[in-house]
Amino acid sequence: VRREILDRLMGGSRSVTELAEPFAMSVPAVSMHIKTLEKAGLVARGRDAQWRPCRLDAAPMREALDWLERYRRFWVESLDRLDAYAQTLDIDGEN
Amino acid sequence: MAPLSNTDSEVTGSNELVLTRMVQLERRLVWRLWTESRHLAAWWGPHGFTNPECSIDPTPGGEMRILMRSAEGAEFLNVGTVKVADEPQLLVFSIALVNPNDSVRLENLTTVELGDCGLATEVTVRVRVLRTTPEASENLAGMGDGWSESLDRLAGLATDGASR
Repeated sequence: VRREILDRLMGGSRSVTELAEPFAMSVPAVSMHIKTLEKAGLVARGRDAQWRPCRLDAAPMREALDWLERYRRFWVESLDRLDAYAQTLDIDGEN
Repeated sequence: MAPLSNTDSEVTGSNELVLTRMVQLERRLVWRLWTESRHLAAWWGPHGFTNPECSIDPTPGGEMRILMRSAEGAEFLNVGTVKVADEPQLLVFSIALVNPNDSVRLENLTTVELGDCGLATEVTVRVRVLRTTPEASENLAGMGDGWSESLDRLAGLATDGASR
């Protein structure tokens, strides 16, 4: 459910009622999920007391992606170097 | 952006980064490239990095300490602990990397499997983030599956085209 909420918020701001629509769940139940997302810093709520639209706060996700990307590059390049190094050893006949 | 490489990478549903790579050397020797300090220092880190200090004690509880230096001279200290050393096939260690502006400290659990392919070795590296900044840990804990799936999906978008 939370993942779908995030998916739908990628398309723009939505009210809780709008977000609850596709789910066979009550608005309060969906509100609980939104609260969890809010606590995780992934969703922000508008200040308008009547409507309080939800929108995606992508900063923490971007941050997480940055870490993954950093690790990915670290290991892709390290393993390239490992293989290149391994081949120099092979040529030298070192063991 | 990323140079062409023979390394495949993917992110699994459990937020684990998995990389596989064939190395043209037999397994017992590849094991030594991972577990002997002078060899590890020769290849650890992205292109252009050197490792002026590098030590690994490949026994459970053994320490790892690697000082990386970029081509521009920036230094990053990696400190870790060996968890499993099952020669010549499995090496598991936790290691903390410090990012360039020192604001984020990343600790991850790295699992290295060496698969015997005769004269070559299939190296599989699995990386799981253990600890980041306190705020980030809270985000990860609060999200459960939802976080994991969204991240997976986003990560898939981000790595498409980079892996092959």
